[in-house]
Amino acid sequence: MNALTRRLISKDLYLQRGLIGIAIVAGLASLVIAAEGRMRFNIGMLGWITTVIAFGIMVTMFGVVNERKERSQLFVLSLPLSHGDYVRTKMLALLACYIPAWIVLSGGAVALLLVMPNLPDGMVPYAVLLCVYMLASFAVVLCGALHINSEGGMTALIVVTNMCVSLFIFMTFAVPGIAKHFQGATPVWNSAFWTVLAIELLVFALAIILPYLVAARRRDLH
Amino acid sequence: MHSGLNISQTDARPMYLQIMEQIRQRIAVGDWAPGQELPSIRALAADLRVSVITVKRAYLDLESEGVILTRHGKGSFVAEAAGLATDLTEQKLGEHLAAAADLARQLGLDEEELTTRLQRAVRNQGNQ
Amino acid sequence: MNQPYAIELCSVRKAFRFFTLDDVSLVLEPGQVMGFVGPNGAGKSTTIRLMMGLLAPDAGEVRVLGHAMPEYQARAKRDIGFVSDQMQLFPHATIGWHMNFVASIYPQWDAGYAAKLIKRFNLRPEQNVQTLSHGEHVKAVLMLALARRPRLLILDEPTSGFDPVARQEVLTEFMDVLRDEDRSILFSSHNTVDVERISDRIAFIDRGRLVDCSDKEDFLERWRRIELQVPTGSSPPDLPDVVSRATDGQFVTLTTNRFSEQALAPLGSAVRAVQRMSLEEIFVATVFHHREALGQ
Repeated sequence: MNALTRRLISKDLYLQRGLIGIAIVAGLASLVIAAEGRMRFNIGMLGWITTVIAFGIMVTMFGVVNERKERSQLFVLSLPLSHGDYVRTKMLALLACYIPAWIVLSGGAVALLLVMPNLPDGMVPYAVLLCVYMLASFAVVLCGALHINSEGGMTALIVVTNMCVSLFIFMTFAVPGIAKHFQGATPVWNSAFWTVLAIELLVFALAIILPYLVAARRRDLH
Repeated sequence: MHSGLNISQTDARPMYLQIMEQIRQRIAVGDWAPGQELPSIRALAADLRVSVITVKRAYLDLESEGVILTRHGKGSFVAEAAGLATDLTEQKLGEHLAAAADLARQLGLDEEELTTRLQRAVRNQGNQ
Repeated sequence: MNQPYAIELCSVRKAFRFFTLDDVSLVLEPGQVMGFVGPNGAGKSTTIRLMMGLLAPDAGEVRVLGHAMPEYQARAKRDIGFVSDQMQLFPHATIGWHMNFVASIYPQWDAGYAAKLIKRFNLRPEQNVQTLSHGEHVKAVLMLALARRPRLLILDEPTSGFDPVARQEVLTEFMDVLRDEDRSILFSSHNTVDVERISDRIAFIDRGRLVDCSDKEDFLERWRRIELQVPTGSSPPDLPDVVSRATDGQFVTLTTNRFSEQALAPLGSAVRAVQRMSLEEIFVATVFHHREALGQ
């Protein structure tokens, strides 16, 4: 990774530092609320889910869409790099912005379930699937932002991914292999779990690879 | 080094002519002495904030008048006979004016009419 | 001259849905300043984006500092300073942060020169980019470009919206670039006064085509407005290369783009005045002539 790429990645990290900080604080605060169990648990989880989704969308919005809209993209493109370099570097930079916070918040959620005695450990596989889903969803939105130039298109993508989170939560819950063990005291890692996980990771991988193959090869930028 | 020349964009005359006149004036009064080096074309262009091509043209025309000398690779210098070149132009003007006065007498023009004709000629020069 | 052209466009074509740039060929020699003039929508920004490798031509070749664009744009941009009035810096950082950013990317960054420029442009490193006016913003971008001492400066409307003081500040710095005969400037501008003053070569573009491209002094020498007084009834002798003609009673005004003293001779005493034209007048006459020729 050359010096320019490193500078651009640290640039995005610097510009997004506030957002990353707020997301971690809000997410951890939600987990603290959820620790009380029962009603507080629902509120806390809602807060946690909202935080992680919103964080993912805003990283992409600030990192790509606003840069393009506010014409700082033209400044970056005046630097000694090709369009392919820009796309690849942007991918790495925004993953670097998202993933550390995601690890903290996901780890926090799983740890919460394992540590708190009033929360059944049987929810852990479901929690893992939810966390990885967030990661995959972020990758899809990022991939979209690198290919879609219109504001309308991006808005549609964000609305659709938001709807899909709700769909995912309910559908996965409805999968027999998962729902059955939800209230159990020990986590159950069965084939239903591994299948859903594999699909999520596949979606993540495709969303990461597509920009390298398509967006990076574009010859017209502005 | 700031040259101290002055180019006006509201002056109707082309910039290269303004530059030439200002250089000739400085040579005529002796501020720029024979043999003295002129600022390089690029340095003068940057000082005056005009294009290089304009200064180049001014220097070329001054050289063809014999007012300056350009030594390839070394720069441009006030010609030793620069004062002489200005004197020659002075002489030419004197001769032309004398001839004009003579022609006017032949045509029967009085002093006022000749002056009017001369003023018109000056105005036309200004427009070129 | 063994150095490549600073910019070389050969029969470049780029088609969009509602606009096509066609058959554009021009060269910028090292050490020259080229002014790029055209009405809005003529294709100036498109041409500049082609030069920067941000667009790929449909046909023809684009070479900048010897590098083919857009393939080698990363290499070319190491030595190009690009300033566009449409460009913006990162909104949540200071000018000083940007200076460090640029300095860490370009080894040729001259910190002393940058400090001088900041003072001359009336900026401060602590200023947050969001608080800058449009003029200050462009000056900041310019400072970041100039302090690297790039071999080629490409400027897209660098002084649009500037007050006269800011324009002078900025023009002085451009001209400083020319002290070095290896450095070149291409700038597009509506401000024909500035273009007329500092350009060595001028290119006129209209409706996607390069209408004319010559040395500035050549333009100023070729174009004249000739006023004739012709008694009513008789028609004035025809002059070749007349671009436009206007009649008001006995007075006829001809505009020519190939003026010579010899061509004047047959007109004799009908000539009342011969006037030079400013670059702005030449530009407008050229565009109207071009559009007439296109049948519009």
